[in-house]
Amino acid sequence: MKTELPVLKKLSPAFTKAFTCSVPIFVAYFPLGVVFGLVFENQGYYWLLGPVMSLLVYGGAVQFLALAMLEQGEGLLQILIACLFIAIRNSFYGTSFFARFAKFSLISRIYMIFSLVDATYALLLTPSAVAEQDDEKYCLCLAVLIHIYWVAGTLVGAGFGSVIPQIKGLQFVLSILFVIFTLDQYFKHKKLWPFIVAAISWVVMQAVAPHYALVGAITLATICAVFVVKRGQVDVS
Amino acid sequence: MLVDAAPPVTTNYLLVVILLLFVSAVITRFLPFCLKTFFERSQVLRQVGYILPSIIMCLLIFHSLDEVVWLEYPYGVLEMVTLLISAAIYVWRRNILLTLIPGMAIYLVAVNLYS
Repeated sequence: MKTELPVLKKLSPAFTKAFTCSVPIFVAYFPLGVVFGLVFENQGYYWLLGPVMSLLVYGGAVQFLALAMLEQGEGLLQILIACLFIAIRNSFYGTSFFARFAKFSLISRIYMIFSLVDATYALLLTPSAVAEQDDEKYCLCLAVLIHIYWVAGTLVGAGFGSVIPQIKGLQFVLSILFVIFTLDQYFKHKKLWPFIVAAISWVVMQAVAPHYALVGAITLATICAVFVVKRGQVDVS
Repeated sequence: MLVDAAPPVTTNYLLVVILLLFVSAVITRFLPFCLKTFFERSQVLRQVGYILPSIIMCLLIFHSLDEVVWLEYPYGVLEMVTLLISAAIYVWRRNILLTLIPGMAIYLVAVNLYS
């Protein structure tokens, strides 16, 4: 992306790059945060706890599920187990960043690991074209910005949700972004089988456990990938 | 069946829920880093880890289209067409902004004006 606004030239290249890359995520996460804040406030909870939840729990699917289950009067244990099933997919995300985060300072490593949500994971995997020594700063800026978008959206939704006009369909920016990142993965590896395995796993898990399709499909596809790799069909360069 | 007596959602109760979910987020996100040496020692797992982003990225597309009803009219045609156009633009120009802007323009106009 080449958007060189004059204002941004004074800032460091790492921040500028992170900011421009994060704009599409803003389009998706900020309005979603607003909706979350709205629902939160409508359920009659103390509105400031909405942004606090977004700051600490930091996971859209988990937060919406928790709200729905609280509203249905489900117990603490049920909520916790259901949310763990959604959240466990994040465990797979970290495996892609062992070497990269190892170079970071302890504090930024801890924050990066905590803030590894869908969008951060996807953006960090695309080549950033930032100098090697700026990588830590770039990753941190990106992760903090995305976190801010989510919390700020929740704050606005919980605080003044009723006066914000809602635009349908902004979430679709994520679908297009993920298509772009999937294409990037293909350009990088030139391998089709991971996508075929992913698609089959998705269909299977949709039939078996639609509520946990994502984590189920990641697990199933990973198991399949282990078998494919063991049969030696992958040459890792 | 075991049924918890669901307490009314007070501010304190909500705080407990938030803190427990925070702990579960921390555990799930730090788990792979705690098992790092285990992952790195296995040749197979290293190779799987190398290909895992392809799998996850592809699954995130499906996941983000979760609310589309594929088996009823209009069969997710709008989503499919917009994504195919976006993919074609990206393969052609390899530029994220150039891909996002027309894709979102088509989709937002269609969703907000014609449905």
